[in-house]
Amino acid sequence: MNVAKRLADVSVLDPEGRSVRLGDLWRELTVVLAFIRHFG
Amino acid sequence: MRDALPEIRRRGAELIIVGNGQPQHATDFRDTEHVESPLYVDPELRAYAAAGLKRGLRSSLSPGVILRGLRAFREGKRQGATMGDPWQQGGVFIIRPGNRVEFSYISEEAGDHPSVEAIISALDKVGRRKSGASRR
Repeated sequence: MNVAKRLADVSVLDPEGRSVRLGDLWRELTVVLAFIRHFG
Repeated sequence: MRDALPEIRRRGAELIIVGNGQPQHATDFRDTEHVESPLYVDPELRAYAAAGLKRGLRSSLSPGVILRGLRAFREGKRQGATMGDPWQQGGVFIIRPGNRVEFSYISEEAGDHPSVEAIISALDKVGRRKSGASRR
């Protein structure tokens, strides 16, 4: 399974605490998905 | 990476940033850093794990990391209090609809990240592929 398929069903939280399914973010457009180490 | 935002959007793509921490950290980060692209948090590191991103003491404290840190310190850069798991490393992926992975960069250690040029170049390749341009 490629990394996008593995990530597609994982959910993250937006700054307001709402759950978002990662796969929905690239359903219709190309994304540059950058995981950063930390916010500090 | 954020400097690349106009170039990313001009190519019809979006920059999505995922951080480790709580939603409040993302709100603070967005406000202090004036982040204009979508920002998310993965407090339990499930996405980081699914993406195969690296964790561990060794990747956070290798000689390269320490030397880069010393250089940055001499140049006056200071690390504020980190919010989130300090042992978690990052990475960058370019993903197209249909779960197509066009670019993958998994950081080995702190300070290790792809160049903006590499990202833009990969997006340009995606664009050429989508338009059916023939290989030269």
